[in-house]
Amino acid sequence: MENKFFQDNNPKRQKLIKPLSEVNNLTEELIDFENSSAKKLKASKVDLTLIKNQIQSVDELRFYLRTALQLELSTIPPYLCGLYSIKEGGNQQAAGLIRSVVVEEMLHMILVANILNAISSPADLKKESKEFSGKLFDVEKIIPDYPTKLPGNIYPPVGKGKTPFKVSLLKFSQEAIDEFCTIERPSNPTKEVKPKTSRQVFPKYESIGQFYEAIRYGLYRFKNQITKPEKNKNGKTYYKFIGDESRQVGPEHYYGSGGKILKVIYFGGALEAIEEIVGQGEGVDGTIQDPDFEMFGEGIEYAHYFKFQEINYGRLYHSNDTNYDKPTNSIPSGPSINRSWSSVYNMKPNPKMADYKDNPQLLDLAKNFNETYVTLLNNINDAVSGDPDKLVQGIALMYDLKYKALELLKIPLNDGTGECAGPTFEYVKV
Amino acid sequence: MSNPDASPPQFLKISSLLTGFTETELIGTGMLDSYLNTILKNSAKEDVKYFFENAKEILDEPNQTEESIAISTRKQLMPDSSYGGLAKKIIILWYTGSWKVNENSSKIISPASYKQGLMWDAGHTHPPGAKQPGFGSWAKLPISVMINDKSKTNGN
Repeated sequence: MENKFFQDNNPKRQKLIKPLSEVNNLTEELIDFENSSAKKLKASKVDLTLIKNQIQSVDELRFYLRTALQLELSTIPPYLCGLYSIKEGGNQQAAGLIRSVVVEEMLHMILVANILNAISSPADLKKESKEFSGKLFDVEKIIPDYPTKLPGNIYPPVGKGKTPFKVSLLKFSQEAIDEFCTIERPSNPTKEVKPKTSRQVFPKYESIGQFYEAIRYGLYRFKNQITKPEKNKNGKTYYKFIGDESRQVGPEHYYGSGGKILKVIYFGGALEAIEEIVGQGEGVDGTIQDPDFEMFGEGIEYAHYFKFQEINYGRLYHSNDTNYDKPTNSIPSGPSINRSWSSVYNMKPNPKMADYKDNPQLLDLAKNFNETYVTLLNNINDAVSGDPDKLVQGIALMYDLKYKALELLKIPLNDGTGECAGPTFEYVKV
Repeated sequence: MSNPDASPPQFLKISSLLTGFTETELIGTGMLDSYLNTILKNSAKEDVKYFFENAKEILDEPNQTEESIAISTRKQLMPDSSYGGLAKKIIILWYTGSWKVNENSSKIISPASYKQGLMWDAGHTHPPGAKQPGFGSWAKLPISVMINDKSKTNGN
C-alpha cells in the first residue's frame, strides 16, 4: 500500500465552519480571522446564550480539551480496522480515502494537545502532574473500550427506536462505513444544544462539531485568563497564550504533515486549529450563501463525511452535486469506484484479548500489537508533554502497528464462525 | 494430495519445529498454503512422503521432551542426505521466502514471500523496499527491541 504520510496543503480543502455569533471583545486579529474563514457562511439563527455558557471555568475548558483528545483517539482504531481489513489489491480508492482520514485524525489529536498546552500555565501542569504522572494525558485511561460511546456525551442521531450510537471495531463493510459516516456527520446548525442537567458532566451533543463549538466559546469566554495581550512592532495587539511555547508541536516535528500541524501560540491560532479539526464538516447545511462557492469538484479535498459518503455510495462526487440547502444529503453522481465487500479479511467485530485466551500464541501476538499501540501513545504523550522532537519516532511505530495488525488478520479463529482475529487496541503495560 | 501427512496442519507443526516460530506466527505470515504447494510441486514425491512420515513420528513420540525432539530432528531430518535435504529447504523457505533450486541458486516464491521472510523479524529489521519503517528509523533502536527491553522504552 502506498505511503500517504505526505500531504500537501490544498487551497481547495473544504473548511466549512459555522461562524460564532455574539462574540464580544473581538480584536482586530480575530476579526481578520473570522472574515477570512467565514465569509462564505452566513450566521445561523440559534439562541447562542445556551451554547456560550456551556463551559463555566478554565478548568472545565481543560477538561473539555482532554476529552477532545480522547474523542480524536477513539475514532482512530475503528478507521484503522476498516483500512487494515482491506485485502491487498482490492478496494484501492476506498483504502486511500480511509487512510487520508485516519492520518488527519492523528494530526487532530496533536492539534488538540497544542491547544491544551497553550492554555496551560506551569502552575496548571504542576497541579495536574500527579494525576497524569507529569504528562499531558493518561495513556491507560484514554484508551476506549470498544464498542464505546463517543467521549464527550456525543450522540449522533441514529433514528427513532435504535439503540444509542456506539463505535465498534469492524472490518471494511457497509456497517463500518455507516458507522464512519455517523461519526463524521455534521449536525443541523440551527438546532440548539440543551443545557446540561445537574447530573450531567456534558450536555448532550449531536455531533463532534457541536462539542468543539462549546470549546470555541469557552476560549472566547476565558480569553482574559488564558492569554496576555502583546503589541507587535506595528502597534497591533495580539493575544498570546500563557502556555509554554516550547511544548508546541509544529510541522517540523512530523514530516509530511503539510502544515496541517499548527503551533498554537496566539489566540487566533487556537481558532485556526479548531477550524482544521472540525471545519471539515460542521456548519455546511444551510449556511453557505456564496453562489460561486464550489462544494465539490476536481481538486477539492473533501471533508471526512463526504469522503465516507463516496465509499458509501461507491461513487465520487461530481461538481454538479452541490446542494446548498443540505449538502449532507447530496448523493455523489460522479464516476463509480471499485468497491468490494468480499475482498476483506473477515475480522471478528470488537475483538478482545480475552477472546484469544484459548490460543496462547495468538494472545501473544495480540498483546504484542497492543504493546506497540501503547508505546505509540506513550511516544505521542511524551511529544506533547514537552518533548516534541520525539514525535517523529512514532512514525516507525505506526508502520509497525500496521504490519502487526495484518498478521493478526491472517489468523483464522477456528471457532466455527469463519471469522479471523484482529487488532484489539487495548491497554497493556509496557 | 494423496499423502495424508502432507496436510497444511501437519506442515504447520513441522515448520514451527524447524523454524522456532510459533504456529500462530507462521499462520500470521499468510504463506502456509503457498509454501506447502511449493514443496509439493518441486520435490520428489517419495522425499515428501517419507519426510512427513518421519516428522510425524518425531512429533507424536510418547515420552518426548523438547530436547529429545531436538535431537531426533537433528539426527533424522537435518542431514543433507535425508529426503533430498528437504528440512533445510523448508527452513530457507520460511526464513527467506525463496526456494532453494540447487547449491547456487534459489527463487523468490512471490512478492508476498519476500516480505514475509522470517529473517526480517528474527534480525529485528525489515524487508527493504517492502515494509518501510519510516524516515530516520535507522538511527533508532528497532521497535521490537525497544518494546522488549524495558530500559529503552519511552517513559511509563
